[in-house]
Amino acid sequence: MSLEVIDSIIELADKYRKKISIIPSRRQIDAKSLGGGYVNKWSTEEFTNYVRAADKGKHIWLSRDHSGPWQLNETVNGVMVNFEDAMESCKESLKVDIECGFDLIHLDASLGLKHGRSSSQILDDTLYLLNYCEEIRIENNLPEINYEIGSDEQSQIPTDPLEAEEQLNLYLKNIKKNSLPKPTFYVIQTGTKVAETRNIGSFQSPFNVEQVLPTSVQIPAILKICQENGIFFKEHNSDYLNNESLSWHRRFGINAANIAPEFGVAHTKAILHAAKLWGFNSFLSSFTEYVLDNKKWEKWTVPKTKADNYEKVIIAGHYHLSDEYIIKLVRDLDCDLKLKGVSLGESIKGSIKNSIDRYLQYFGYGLF
Amino acid sequence: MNTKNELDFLIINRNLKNVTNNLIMDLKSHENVGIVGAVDAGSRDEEISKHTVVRDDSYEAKAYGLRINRGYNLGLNWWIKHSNTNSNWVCLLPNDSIIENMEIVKLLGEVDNYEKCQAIVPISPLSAYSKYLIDKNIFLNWHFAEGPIILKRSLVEYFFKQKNLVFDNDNFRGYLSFIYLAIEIYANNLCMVGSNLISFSENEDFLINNFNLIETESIDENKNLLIKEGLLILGKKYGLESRLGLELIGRLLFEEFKKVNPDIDIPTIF
Repeated sequence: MSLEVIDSIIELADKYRKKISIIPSRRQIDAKSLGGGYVNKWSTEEFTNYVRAADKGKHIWLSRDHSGPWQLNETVNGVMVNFEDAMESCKESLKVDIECGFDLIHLDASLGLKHGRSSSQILDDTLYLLNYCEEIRIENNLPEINYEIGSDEQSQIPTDPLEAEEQLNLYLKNIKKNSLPKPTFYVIQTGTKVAETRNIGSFQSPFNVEQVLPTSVQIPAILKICQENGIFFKEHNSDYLNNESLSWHRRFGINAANIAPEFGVAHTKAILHAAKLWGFNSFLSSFTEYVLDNKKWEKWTVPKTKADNYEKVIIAGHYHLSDEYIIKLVRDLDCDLKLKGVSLGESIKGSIKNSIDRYLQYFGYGLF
Repeated sequence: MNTKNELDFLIINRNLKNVTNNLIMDLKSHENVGIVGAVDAGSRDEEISKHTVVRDDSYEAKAYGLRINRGYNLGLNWWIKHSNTNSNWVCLLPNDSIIENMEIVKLLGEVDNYEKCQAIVPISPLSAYSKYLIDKNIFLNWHFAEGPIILKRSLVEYFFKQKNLVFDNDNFRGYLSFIYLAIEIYANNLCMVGSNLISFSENEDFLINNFNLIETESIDENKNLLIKEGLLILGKKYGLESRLGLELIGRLLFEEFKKVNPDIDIPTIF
């Protein structure tokens, strides 16, 4: 996510006059009191003000991705954050989200499993946070919020539809028992998984993957579960799916999908492409060196990766677009390109919008 | 001899005589096994199994092999025309199969309760379906991975009468073969099941380490060609871009079958 990605989403939502969620994680954008995030160095408050002012047609859903304990950071200065602190930080983040009028909040306490919490404690944590959100909402006399539950971490969520159904039933039963609002979305694995700049999940695999249910069996089964429970079904990790796979989303009946790094990658690629096209080799070396040294690409690469330096840079470049050093580098590049009559900003925006629009077309935004 | 509960076996062999013979001996050691024969898919003369019942020694078969579709068709053609058996069912097997379970009487006892059930896919322990088979032995389905398969005589005879084969010979490497089969089965208001009462695993060592002895491509090259050629056929014959389109046909026919045959109480997984 970047300022240009946010602007592109707002413009496209306005063009199609249909809702699009902008859904930052806590690392991307968080409350001012928690230090903000890496996207444009914005806090939740600044992000909200910007989007609300720019979104003249009111098509944007301000949304929060993966809000839960440890979702901002798992360690501070090398020391593991304890549960109480992780929960307090999450509550502060949620409080600001709600006060800012967020439309959709994804509650995801599943990182607790990595920190010694049991499955039943994860359920309790989710219910506790849902209850907390409602208290804040009611205190502030705000309209109803859409909630999303479930996680996309393949090691932490059931990929098996029967287990997913059991988990959903358990959540819904307890939500009802506590008189809490029923979530709008449930996240279940559909067979998408992002690594490097590819979707390596089973969704678009041309052959059967051992021990994994075929997409054509898995998705209708999940959809049936969601329909029976009156909840929408949301896919995560939808990046880099090919057009054929995207075209099947509406046909399968997938209600919503999250796309994250692909648009950031489109941003970085546009910068590198312009620099390369016009021969700004010193920019390319400096940008490359900075991104490689910071090693953010490690999060996305597969073991024994064959990704070369260029690929590593396009994988991780967007994490650094708000770093002072990179801001200056890109600003200088922009000035140099202007002298040649080239608008870097337009190239970037064009690239990002094409990338987003590919999804929107297949998700039916062009239809009336 | 009560042949009703017997199952015949045909094993595809290509240049792995000893492997095929060992599998045949292993199969013969089980109860209620009828005819067990090898279908030779263009082996060199010295690699032809002594259990061979039918052979394709054409130049093409020797050069490229038969793979499962052509190999299975060759065996089935022999089985319905020449085999001296009254078994109602035949199991078609690649020779790299390892027996995991062999409860023939129980399986045939279950499926023979359903006249419309015409095909059984043995579920390997590595199949995504295997974990759902704790409280059931057979399940109605339409989406199965290619490998061993058990077919009923009436189905084989019907397909040979209609088109003189069961599997598409043009689909050389058998991409989505069992989806095509499921479509034809369900479109005829018949059905197929998966079961772990008879189960095999695949010994991939032969393809990984002995592909040169078999005179076939490496496992990776084979996978690439399987997809490339399979997608070409999918596009050329059916105008479809990916497997998902074909699978949709299979799924809808399956759903329709369940709707119009509420009396068939074979459990489903989903």
